Amino acid sequence: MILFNHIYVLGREELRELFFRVRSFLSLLLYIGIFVLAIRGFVEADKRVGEAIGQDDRIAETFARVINELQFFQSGDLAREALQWPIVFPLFQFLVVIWLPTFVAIVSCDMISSDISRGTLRYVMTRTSRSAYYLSKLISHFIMYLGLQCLIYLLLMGGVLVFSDRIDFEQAWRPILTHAVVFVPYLFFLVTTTQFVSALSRKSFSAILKVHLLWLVFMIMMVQWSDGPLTWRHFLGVILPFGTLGQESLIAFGSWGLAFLLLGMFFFKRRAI
Amino acid sequence: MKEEIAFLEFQGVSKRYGSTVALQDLSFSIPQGVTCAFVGANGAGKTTTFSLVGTFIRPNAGVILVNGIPHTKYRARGGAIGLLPQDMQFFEDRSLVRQLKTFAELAGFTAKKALEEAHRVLELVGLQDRFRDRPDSLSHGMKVRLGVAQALIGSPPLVLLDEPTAGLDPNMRVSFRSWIEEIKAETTLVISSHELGELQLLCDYVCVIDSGRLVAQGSMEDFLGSVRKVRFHVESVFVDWLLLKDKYPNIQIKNLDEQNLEVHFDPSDYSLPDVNRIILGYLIEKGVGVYEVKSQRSLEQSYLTATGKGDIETEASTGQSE
Repeated sequence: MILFNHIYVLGREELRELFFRVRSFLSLLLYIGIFVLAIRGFVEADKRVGEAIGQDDRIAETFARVINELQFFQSGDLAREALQWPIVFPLFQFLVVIWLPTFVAIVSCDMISSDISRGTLRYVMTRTSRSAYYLSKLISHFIMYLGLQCLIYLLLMGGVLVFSDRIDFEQAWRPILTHAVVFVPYLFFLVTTTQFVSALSRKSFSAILKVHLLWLVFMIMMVQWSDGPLTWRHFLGVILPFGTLGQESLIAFGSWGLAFLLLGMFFFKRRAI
Repeated sequence: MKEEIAFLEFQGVSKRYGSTVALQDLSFSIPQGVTCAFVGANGAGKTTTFSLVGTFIRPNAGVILVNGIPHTKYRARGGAIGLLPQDMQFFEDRSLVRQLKTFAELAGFTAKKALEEAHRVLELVGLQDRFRDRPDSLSHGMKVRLGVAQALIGSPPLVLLDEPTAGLDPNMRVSFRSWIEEIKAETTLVISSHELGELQLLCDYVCVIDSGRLVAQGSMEDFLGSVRKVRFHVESVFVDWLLLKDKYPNIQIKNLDEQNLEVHFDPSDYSLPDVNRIILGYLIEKGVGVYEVKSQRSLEQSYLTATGKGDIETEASTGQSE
C-alpha cells in the first residue's frame, strides 16, 4: 500500500514535469506534428496504391508474392489478410516504429540520470524507496507515451475518415486497434531500455548516447541472428501484426521489456547516488 | 536521557570507497528520545554514516537497525526518517510549498492535510512568507532552513541533520536552537556539526567517531566527565589562602597567573556548588572582585581528549560558564 501510494505521488509529479518541461513539450509537439503531416500523405499514398491495384491485378500479385517470398507469414491466408488492410495503416505504424525510439530517447534518457546529476535524487530518497522511485518513473513515462499514442491513433482515425473516400470506419477501427495492442509491448520495451540506461548514467548526454548505442547493438543482433531473441521479424510484427507474427512480437518485446525492468531495478538499487 | 532503548544502531558497519576506508567496523547505538551530537573531524565518516542511513550508499559489511529492524525494511514498512543531507539539492522549478506537500504526501498525509503540514513546517523554520517562491530565489541560510523543514515533515521519530548550522548567521543559529528545542521531546535527533559549542547546548547524548571508528559514546554528562576543577578569573590572586586551606585541606588552590586561579577538588568530598560557595564566599570576605567562574569541560576539550588530539590537563580551559 505504501509502495503504491509513493508510486502514485511521485508518478503524478513526474507527469506534471514531463508536460511542463520545455524540451519534452517541444519534442511532444514535434512528435504529434510529424504524424499529423504524415496522415495526409499516407492517405494519399493509400489512395494511389489502391487505385493501381484496382486497375492492374499484377500489382496485387506482386505484393502477395513479395510477402510470401520474404516469409513474413506462415500461411498464405495471413498474407492475403495483410493485403486486405488499407496500406495507410502499416505505413503509419512503420513511422511509429522508426520515430518512437528517437522520441523516447530525447524525452526519457535523463529520467533518472538528471536527478542523480542535480543531486535531487538524494532529496527524494530521504522519503521513499528506490523501488517506488524507479517504478513511478517507468509508469509515468509509459502512461505519457501511451496517452500520446492513443491521441495519435485517434487523429489517424479522424484523418482517414476525413481525407479518404475509400476507407470507412469499419475498415479503419480493426487495424488501428490491432496496431495499438502490439504497440504496448513495443513501447514498454523502449521505455524500460531507456530507463535502464538512464539509471546507470550520471549525465543526460551520456545517457542519450548510451541509449542509441544499445539500440545499435540490437540492430546488429537483428541482422546477425535471424533466429535470435530479437529479430527484424519482431519489429515487422508491430507493423503487420497478423497471426503468429504479432504474437511473437508481443512476447519478444514484452519479455525484453520485463528483463530490462528487472535488470534496471537490480542495478539501480545497488548503485551509490 | 529518556529511555535506554536503542533506536538507531550500527553493528559492525564498514564502508569502503575503492581503496579508501570510510567506516571500519563501526558500531554504536543511539537511545530513543535523545538528542545526539555526532562528532568527528573532517573525513571521520560522519557524512558516510548519514548517507548509509539515508540508503544513498550500501555498506560493505554490517547491519544498520532502526527501532530494532534493518533500516531498509523499516523504511519499506512506512517507518519515517527525516534526513537533512549535507549537500541538499532541491527541485529548483517547484515552489517550496509544492516540494514539501509532495514530501508530506509521501509521509502518508492526504492532499489537504499534506498542504497544511507543508505550511506548518515552513512556519516552524520561518519561511511561511516565501511558500510560493522557488528554491533558486533563497539565500544559503534559507535553503538550510528549507532542508530542515523537509526533514521535519510528518514529525518523523528519527531525524538526522548533517551540518544544519553551516552557513547560518548568529540570529538563525538562535532560531535553529529553538526549532530543535521544540521538536526534541518527541523525536530522536542526531546532529552532526563542527559547532561543538552549539551541540553541547542542544544535545544530551554524544557519539564521537574518528577515522571511521567509534571513539566514545554516552550521555553528554558522562562524556564531559565529573567536574574536578574550577577556574576563577579574579581581580587579584594574591590573597592569604592559609585559613581556607586549614579549614578545607582537600581543596587545592593553584595560582595560574596574577588574575587566574584553579581550584582542584575530589567530587566525592565536595560538590561543585559547595566549592563555588566556599571559594566565592572567601574571596568576597577578603574583598576580591570575581570576574568569571569556569567549571565545566567543553565538548571540544572532551572531544580532543577522546580522539587523542589534545590533553585536557595541559590545554587552556575554554569551557562554559557556571
